[in-house]
Amino acid sequence: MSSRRSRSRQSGVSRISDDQIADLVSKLQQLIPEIRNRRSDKVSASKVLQETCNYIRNLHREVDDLSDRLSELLESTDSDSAQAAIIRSLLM
Amino acid sequence: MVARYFLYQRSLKRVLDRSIRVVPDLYRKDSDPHLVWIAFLQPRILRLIVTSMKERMPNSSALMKQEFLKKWIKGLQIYSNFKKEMTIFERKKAIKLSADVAIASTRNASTHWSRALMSDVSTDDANDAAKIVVEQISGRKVEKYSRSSSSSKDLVITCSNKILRRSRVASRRRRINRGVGTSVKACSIAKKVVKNRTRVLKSLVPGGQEMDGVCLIKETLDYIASLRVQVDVMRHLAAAAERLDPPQRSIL
Repeated sequence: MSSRRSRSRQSGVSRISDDQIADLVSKLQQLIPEIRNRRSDKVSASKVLQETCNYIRNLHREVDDLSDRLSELLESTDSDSAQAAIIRSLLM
Repeated sequence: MVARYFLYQRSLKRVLDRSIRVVPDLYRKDSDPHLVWIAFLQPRILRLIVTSMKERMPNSSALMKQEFLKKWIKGLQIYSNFKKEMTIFERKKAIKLSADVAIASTRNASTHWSRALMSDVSTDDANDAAKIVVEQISGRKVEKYSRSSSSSKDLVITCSNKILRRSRVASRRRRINRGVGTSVKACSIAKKVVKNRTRVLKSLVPGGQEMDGVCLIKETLDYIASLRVQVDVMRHLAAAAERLDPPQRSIL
């Protein structure tokens, strides 16, 4: 009885329906490489959310590392090299 | 795939060597050689990078990568015009910020996260160049991301929170009285875990705090796709630059 009451309350405040969750979770599953390589039918929502958060954090960190690398490259004081000049003129 | 990558490197080198031979006189003259370089080489290098990316990952995001690359380089040039000498830290910030603005603008303000990202960048007062970059690249002035549209949603959310709290307390009392089995407990724990993870996800996606469940997941899907494009292009550019100009590790 309690579950019935809570379910009616849930529909009243426009919570996510199960179908929508399943659809979106499957889409997330396809995007995240970690989950895609494993068995696809037995992944829970919390696991998908966790892997999503980890994946986004990894992508953020990679952007940061790449920015570091590029800024170091552009700092190269070897201005005689024509190639360094090209890269710098391309980006700066 | 490795062979193709080497081919791309070789062809890039070939273009550069050829261009060095062709434009030496102009380069030696004092009259702004860099402009000549830029005008001559930039479209070729860009084209090479983009075609190499298309070969390795042939799908529809190639167009998005092209757009991102162009806007990112535009942003970097705005920055360097704004400030000639930059410390390595400032340069890193410039690169990162231009990349973020560029990837957000590929969405043309059609998603929450792109709007929130642009507004975050442009309302950061410490950085005047950032505002100019955002305006130039997005083509319009970006004001603070309006939270007023979600005020009605807040009302719904606070109401639903109150209802949840009430039902949680009521169900706890009922559970103590009846001694329900472990399935209910597991269910509530799972719900709590999902709730916590959703909160973390909201903190990761820009503008996530204002989104509810369905919207959040849709935005996350789009955001992840855009982040992947950003990382791909940056990785290609960094690899190409490192090949052409290997970083001198003089300390070692």
